[in-house]
Amino acid sequence: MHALQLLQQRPDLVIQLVLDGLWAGGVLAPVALGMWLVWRVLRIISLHQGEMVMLGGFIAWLGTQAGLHPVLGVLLAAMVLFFLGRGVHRLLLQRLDGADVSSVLLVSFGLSITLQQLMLVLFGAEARMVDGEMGVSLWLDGSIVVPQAQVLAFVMSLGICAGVWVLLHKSHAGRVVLVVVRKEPAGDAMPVRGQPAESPGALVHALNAALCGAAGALLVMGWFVHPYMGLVHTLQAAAVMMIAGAGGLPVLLPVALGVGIADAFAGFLPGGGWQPVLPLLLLMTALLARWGIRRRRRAGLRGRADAATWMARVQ
Amino acid sequence: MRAWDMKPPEMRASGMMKYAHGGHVAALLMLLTAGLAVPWVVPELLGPLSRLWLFVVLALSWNLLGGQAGYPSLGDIAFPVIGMQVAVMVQAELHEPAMVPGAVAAGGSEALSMPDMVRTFAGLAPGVLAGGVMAALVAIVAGGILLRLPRQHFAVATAALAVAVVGMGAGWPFDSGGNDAPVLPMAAGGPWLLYWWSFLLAALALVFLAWLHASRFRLALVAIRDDEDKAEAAGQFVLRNKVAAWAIAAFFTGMAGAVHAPLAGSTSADMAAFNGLEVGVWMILMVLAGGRGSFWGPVAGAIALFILWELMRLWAPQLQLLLAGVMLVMTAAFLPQGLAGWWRQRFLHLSAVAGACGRGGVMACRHAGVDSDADADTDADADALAGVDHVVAAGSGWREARHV
Repeated sequence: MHALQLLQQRPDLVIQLVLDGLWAGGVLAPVALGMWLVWRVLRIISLHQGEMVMLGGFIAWLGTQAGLHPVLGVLLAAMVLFFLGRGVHRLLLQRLDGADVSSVLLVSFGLSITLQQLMLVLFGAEARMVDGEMGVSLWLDGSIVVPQAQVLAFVMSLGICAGVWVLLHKSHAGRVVLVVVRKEPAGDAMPVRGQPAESPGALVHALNAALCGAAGALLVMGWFVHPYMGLVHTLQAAAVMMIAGAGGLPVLLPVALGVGIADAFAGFLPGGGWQPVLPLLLLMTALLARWGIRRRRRAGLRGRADAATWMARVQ
Repeated sequence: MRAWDMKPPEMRASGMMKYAHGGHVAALLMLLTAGLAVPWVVPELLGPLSRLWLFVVLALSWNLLGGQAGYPSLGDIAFPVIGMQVAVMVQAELHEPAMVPGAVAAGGSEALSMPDMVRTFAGLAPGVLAGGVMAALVAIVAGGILLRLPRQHFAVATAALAVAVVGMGAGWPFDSGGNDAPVLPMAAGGPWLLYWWSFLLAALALVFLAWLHASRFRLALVAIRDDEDKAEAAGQFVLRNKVAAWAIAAFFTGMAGAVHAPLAGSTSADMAAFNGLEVGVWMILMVLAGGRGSFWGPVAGAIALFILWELMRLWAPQLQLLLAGVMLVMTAAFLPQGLAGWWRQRFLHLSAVAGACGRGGVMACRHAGVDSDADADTDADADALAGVDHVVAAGSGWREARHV
């Protein structure tokens, strides 16, 4: 384990990796938040999440090519993606409202392939980045490198997440969404007061797309985007969402940061060989944990359902 | 009620007998006869035809879990990669001298002598078998964990599995993406041999899966798609059935990957595994366009899309996958039951989903509005039913039902 020895000898490398991971996790957080919203409200796992991030990155890149400031590029990407997400819902996903889960899933999967290939045909396979002409901070005699664009993007990303979270809790439309989020699936048949007749699908899809677009624009500020990046991004966001469970942003955010750090270390450790396996490992961990919780709950329910036990307790 | 009590009388005949009525056996025989005759009619198309048979295998295999059981796996491409890698390793072990390091790729100039060709052909047999078995083992282990999940989570996790397998495969010593990986000299010598290998594999898959399609095992899978909780409450081993379906699919797709490696003359996990996730996408599209859950739908879809695939490869290779993505979206959104469903509606005047769901299926069709994919962790119904499971299983008449 040559890489491990290197990490032991150079603690500054560890700090560098943690910082890189924090940044990556911070940019992942909006993507995971959007995915979480779509899952909680519509019970759909959005598989074209990563491609929307990529799209946002390309839009921001195009914006800066046209002379736009990178920070405004974030706004542009979010706005364009907002309407795109709405359009996708109106054109495709809305008509699949009562259809089986596989169809919706495959539409989403097809969208991811389509967007990826479209960008590949239009822009080629090379990576694009934005030079915001921001400096680089050097810490500890230059052994730790922190680009200021990454710091800015990280802070903005957290700000966007927090803003959306507050908006969800304070605005009327947001509360309507949250009603559906909080509704337990067991209570599906029961009407909830104030809930609209149809689920707020268009809003949620649009919001999700906007979050992804913003994340892509932030990503292109401090790092780069290329057409093939989508799938891994989707998988990472899915891992974050599944680990976090029902908790919402307060749980999602630390998990996203943790996943980012894990990814940074996986890329460093034995020759990068662990990086492709990491999403699978994370997903399996999350799912095994959920499975354990489910088993415990099931045991509890069975105990309650057992009439004899209940009678014994009452007496 | 037991699965077979629900069957209409004409479906009570078991096994292949059912197909004797519908002319399915005749269609199967015609297809296989065509496969036997075609290499003599158009010998210049041997390579594409071999690929076509492999596509048929892939489509039929994916249909098993993705179509009939309603668990769409996005990462079944992992199995051809595993099959290919294991097969090449076995061949390298058995026939070291026949390996030419980095020399002969697809269409290479070095012609093999006849004994060499026979030897490599024989060497392929244990390799292909080992590849299929290994892929099935991976499916059993992975399925034991992943198939406990709701289907969307399963789909995401399988995509992660494919990324992991293809990513790990890139660092593999026999990967021809590397510099001095040995290349099997098969492509130079025997397109005929490879055609017969592909055809044999497809024939095996067609006959076995046709038999399985007429068996009660398919009913069990359809019950899983219709309402998994109810199927479980009715005493079926839902998880075991799903894992078995995935393992069968992995066995055939693994063997297809093992045959494809010498066919393409490449052992790169990225490329020979049908260009990364690319064939993984076409594989799903073939089933979806043909008709999920039916038997002939995926075969027809494989043939139709194979022609499209080859034409695109000639005319506009860079648009190939874009077309696949667009078609995937369009089919899933506007023609979810595929060509088979359209055929059924247009010509047989049946419900588009009737055949796909199995007229003898245990549960009402999921298009009737049953959503068995509700939240996994808080689905009180599922939990309550799981408690009932034991009671049900204890009843005398239910023991047989458990073995569906």
